[in-house]
Order: sequence, then C-alpha cells, then structure tokens
Amino acid sequence: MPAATAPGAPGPGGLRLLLVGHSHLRCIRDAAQAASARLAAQGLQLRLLMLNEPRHRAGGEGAPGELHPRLQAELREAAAQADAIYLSVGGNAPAAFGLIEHPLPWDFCCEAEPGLPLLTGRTVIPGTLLAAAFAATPMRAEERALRRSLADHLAACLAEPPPGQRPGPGTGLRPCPLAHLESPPPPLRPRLPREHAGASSGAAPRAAPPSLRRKLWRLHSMQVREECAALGLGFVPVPAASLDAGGHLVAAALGPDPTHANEWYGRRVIEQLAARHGLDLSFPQDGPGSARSRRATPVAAEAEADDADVPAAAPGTGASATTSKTVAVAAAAAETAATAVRAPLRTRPGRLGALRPSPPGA
Amino acid sequence: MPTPTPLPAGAEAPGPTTTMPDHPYQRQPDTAFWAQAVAEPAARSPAAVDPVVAPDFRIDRRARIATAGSCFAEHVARHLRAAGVRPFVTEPAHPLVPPPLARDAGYGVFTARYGNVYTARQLLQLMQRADGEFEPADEAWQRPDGRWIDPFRPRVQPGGFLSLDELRADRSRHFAAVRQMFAELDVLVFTLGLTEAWADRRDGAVFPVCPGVIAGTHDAGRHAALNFDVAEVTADLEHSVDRLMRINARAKLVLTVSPVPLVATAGDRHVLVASSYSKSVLRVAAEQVARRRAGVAYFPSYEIVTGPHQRGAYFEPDLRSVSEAGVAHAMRLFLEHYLGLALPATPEATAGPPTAQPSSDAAGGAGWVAQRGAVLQARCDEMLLQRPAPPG
Repeated sequence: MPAATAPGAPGPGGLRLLLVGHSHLRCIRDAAQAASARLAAQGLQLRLLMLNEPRHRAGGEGAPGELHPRLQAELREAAAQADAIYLSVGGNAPAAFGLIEHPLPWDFCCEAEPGLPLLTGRTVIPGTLLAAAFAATPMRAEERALRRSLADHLAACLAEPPPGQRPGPGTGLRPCPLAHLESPPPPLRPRLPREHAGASSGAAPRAAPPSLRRKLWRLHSMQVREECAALGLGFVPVPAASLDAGGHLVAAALGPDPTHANEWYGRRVIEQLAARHGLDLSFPQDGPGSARSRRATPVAAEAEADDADVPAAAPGTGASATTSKTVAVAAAAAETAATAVRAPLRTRPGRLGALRPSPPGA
Repeated sequence: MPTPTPLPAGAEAPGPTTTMPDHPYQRQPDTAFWAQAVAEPAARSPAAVDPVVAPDFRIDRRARIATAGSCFAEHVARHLRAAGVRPFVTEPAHPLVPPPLARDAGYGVFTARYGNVYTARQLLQLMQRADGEFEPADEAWQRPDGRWIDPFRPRVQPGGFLSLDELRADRSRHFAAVRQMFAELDVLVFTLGLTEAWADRRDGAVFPVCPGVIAGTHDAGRHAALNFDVAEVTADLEHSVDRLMRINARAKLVLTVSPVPLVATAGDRHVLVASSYSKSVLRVAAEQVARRRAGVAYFPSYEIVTGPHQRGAYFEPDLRSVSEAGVAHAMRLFLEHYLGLALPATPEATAGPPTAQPSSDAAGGAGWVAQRGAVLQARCDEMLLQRPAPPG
C-alpha cells in the first residue's frame, strides 16, 4: 500500500491532527503553544477546537448534542485538512459524581477495577447499579449525546469531498482515523475548591477516598470506551507516564484544579499521539514522572497495553519521511480556526470505512 | 330483629302457627347473607362489595407498616404512598441512585430488598438467615458471564453482582435491614403467594424460584419440589409470628392471600387445579393463624379480587394478572378499614363489566398510563416460568 494511503499517516505537509473537545484539551493547547517551534520542526500541526468556548458551545441552546451550524461548518473545514481526529468530550463526570465525600459515604465494586477491595464502614452500592446510576447522570447523558453528534457529523464530513472538489478517482484515498482521548486520572490528593464547603458532612469538604475516585474514573473510561466502540471510534488511554504506581495522576501532571492536568501532561499526550502516527517527538524530560525516568508499574503497563484500539499509522508507513518537514503549529483555542496556519487544502476526503474500529491489537 | 323471649320453665312452646320462626341466622347481620352482602351491592357496582366486616385492629397512619410477600404485595407499598402513608423502608437505595433505577433493583418495593417472598417457609427462613441462625449451603450462584446471583433474591440485582465479595457485602447490609425491620415495625402486611417451592435437599433452604430459571443450575439430585400442605404452612406462619412477637411484642400482622393464580405447577395436576389447591391451603392456613394468634388479622384481598361479584373483571386478559381496578378495590378497603382513610372508588373500580373501558383510559390520560405502568411493573419472579409461545 502506498504510504500516502495509510490511515492517519502524515501527509506531505507533515502530520496534521485535529483535536475537538472540552477543557481537558487545555493542557494540550498550553503544551503546544509553549513548544510551537519544536512541534513545527518535528512536522506536527495540532489544531484544537475547544467546544467550551462560547462561540463553539455545543448543545447549549438546542437539544442535547445539537451542533451549532457555525461549529458544523468549522468542523467540516478542519476535518478536511486533518490526518487524524481526536475527540476529548466531557470527562469531568467522575469528579462531579464522586470527588467530594458524600454525606452518606459509599463504595462500589468496579468491573473495570475488580482488584480493589471494598472499603469498610461504607454503604456498598452494587457495581452494576452504580454504573447505571452514573451513566444516567445528566452530565454523562449530555456527554454521550455530544460525542455521538460529533462522531456522526465528522463521519459525514469525511465522507464528502472537500469544498470545491468532486468525487472521483482522486478522492477518498486516505481514511482519517477518528478516536477519543481518555480523560486524565484523578490525583491522589486533590486540592479541593472552596465552593465544595458544606458538601460533605462536617464543616470542611473532604475528598472521597482515592480508591473510590480511581474506580469512578475507570468506570467512566470503561463506559466511554464502550460508547466509542458503538460509534466506531477508537479509544486512546492516558499516557502511561501520567499514572503513578497506584493508578493516580502523577504529581508532575497536577493541574490547577482537582480534575484537570497541566502542561506537562499535555506534552505527554502530544508525544503519545505523535508516536501513534510514527513521529518520534520526545520532549526534554522535565519531571520525575516523565516517560523515560519513570519505572513502569503494572498499572502503567496496563495503560500501555490498552493503547491499541485506535487505527493509526504504524512506523514505516511513510511517517518517518515526514518528520523533517516543517509544519506550523496552531494550537490556540477560540482563535484556532482563525489563526491556524493552514496547510494547503488537499484532496483527502475520509471514508466512512476508515471510521470503523480496527481489530483488537491493530 | 327482636330477641326471642325465653320460655318459662315447664311451659310448652306454642304451636308453629302462633310464633315467629327462630334460628341462629335470624341474628346474623347483612354481611352474613349473600344476597345482601354480595348480590345487591354488586348489582349497583362491583366495587361496592365490601367483605371486611370489622378490622381486628386499627393502624395509625404514622405507624411503621412493613410489607412482604408475593408480587401482589408490591401494590401495598405503592398504594400506601398514594394515600399519603409512608411505608416503612429499612433498606433504601443510596441517594445517588435515581428512583427508577432503585425500583428496578428492588429498593423500596418492600421494606427491605428481599424481593418476592412467596411462601411461609421463605419468610421463616428469611428471619433465621438474617439472625445468623441458618446459613444455606447454596450461598451464591455464578452466571456464565462470571457475575453472581443471590439464590434467595435472584432478581434484586439487575446484571448480577460483580464479585462474591460484593454480594456478601450487600447481603450483610440486607440482613441488617431485615433485622431492623422486624425489630421496629408496627405492622407487617404479609401476602401469601404459593405453596409450591423448590428446596435444597441438603439443608431445606427454600428458593423463591426454581434453580436454573433465573440463574443457577437445576440439579434433580439436589433440588426437590415441595408443595406445602395446610399443617406445614400454618406451622411456618406460627413460627414466624411467634418469632416476630419475641423480637417485637407490639408487632401486629395482617395476612392476605394473593389472588394471582400459579403461572405453572411442578406437579402432575392441571395448573387450574393446582392453583385452586394452593390458594385453598394458604387461605385456610391464614385463617387458622389469625384465629389462633393474637395480633394477627386476615384481610380478604383474595376474595375481593376473585369473588363472583367481579365476574372475572379484576383479571387482565391473561386471566392471571390482577387489574389496577382490582388492586385499587382491595387497597381502598384496606386503607378504609384499617387506617380510617376514606378514599373514593376509582373510575376503574366502578367500571364493572369486563368490556367497559375506564373513562380516563378512553381519554388517554397520562395518570392512567402511569398507573398502568406501575401495575405492569409489579414484578413476579414466577413469570419467568412461563413457557414461551410456539413460533408463529
């Protein structure tokens, strides 16, 4: 197969990744902005559409998951230029559900984390019931609806020839992988915002136990993975380097609040995504939890093993030939679409078939 | 009716033509006569038939009313709520679980999450198990997908338990809720449903549903079909009542018999005959216990629903499920006689003939639809015994 047709392989202009989602993209945006020259030198162009910016707020005025026509147009234009698309929709539901200790402390058995013991002295909510209750929360329902809308819209966009092009032999040659990013894991010791005062029994808010928060995050990831599979989306686990031995967010990745990660984490994600498409883009190691200095743990190994269910270009499929090419980086948020240095519009409509999940282990 | 004057000693009775006839029935109230108590009110409206002569005791509306029994018993808690009476619940769902999911998982359907308790033996063993006096050999069943089922409440956890530890933790909480229920209740409304049951030959543990139907594996060498007789049901009930009274001396018990026929029999009789036997046994046992034990009453929901005054109208087209009108009739009389709550007869209850549609139904009323949905949601483990219709 010619290199140019490999799913997600960098094109002649380098590797162009489109990231669409909410606040968990901010750390990636910050990392990309801080390292724009380096990314450009490596041939990686990131374009981010931040849906929680007012101009992109999806579903805010219409039905759940409804995409504003302006956003639809922008997605169509951006998808036409992407070698791969990654979604990061929602992701804060675990924190909303279980960051703060409930007045009636509880625990559950998580199917995704069966090894963790149940904490004593707590009400045990049966795992399947808890999973259903969690999935039924409005936040999760909105997240599902929006993810579905985005997947459907992007699939439709990728099935169309770009504006000005007509279907023909020159179109549809390069499928565009579409996958979803796992949201960052919870920190071991979160810094709780003042707004949570009074939420727990007692005066001061307390964080729920680390094992409970970790299980909720794993439950969320399991549900999102299943929902993505049903939509034909791949699923990209968090970078293994971001997990400590207990499966929590490493200290180096802690963001400004209990649910978001920082620029360090953003760099790990950029490295991870680049590697998925054959680009060796190692940032200078800048923390104790960095990928190279961190000893692999069983949890990290598990995350890495999971990192296999999204179609991406394998090394040697043409990606290496593009690593020396210089491509501008545009990673602004609301201004992204307007300020991005766009590569020339190419004839590269995706095919619906490219959105099907690859076989396990692919 | 005037009381006959006793004759003086030695006096001869006057001839038959000179005195009013005298026999015990002349002193009986109208409720003792079919024409006055059944036929005449039924002619006005089937819902006017009221077989509750006098309650054995009254229940304060603030009392802790616990419920248990067959699927028909599920309606008790629902109607108590509708009447503004809060049923006693000792095993609520965690507040994080939304009500529809909680109900599907058996929370709030009865006082504790024990699911259907069809037989008196089950009730007795529930008390024994909760107190740690009986630990059945069959602790849990594992499904082919690896999840676990509690053999003694096989439908309370949709999807099963994820691990044996989780099942044990939930059961521990459940038993604590059962103990609290018996210790603190003021009144237990227990609806007897079946005489047939399946038991473990090793220790006599009675399952609510035949092993292999919902989960588990049926093993003819290990599982025995039982069909309790009057003496057995009476003994089990009396043991349960005595046990309850030892725990909670002020407790009272209202026994009812489910009017829902058997969905299937494990015996060699026709299911209609088997059902008649089962209900007869339960009815006699309930009567005996109510007469022998203080603080135990019998409430005639069975007669309200199955009596000829309804001409079968209180059954759904499957001739087994009780219509909302039938449930409402029974519950209206229960609330009226035992709690002193006078409720109007519902339009359905007064609708009468089987072909008549309730007015709110004709209008497509949302309230009726919701009510119907509630009826349909009364879950009956037994229904899983239903043999599927042949293709076509």
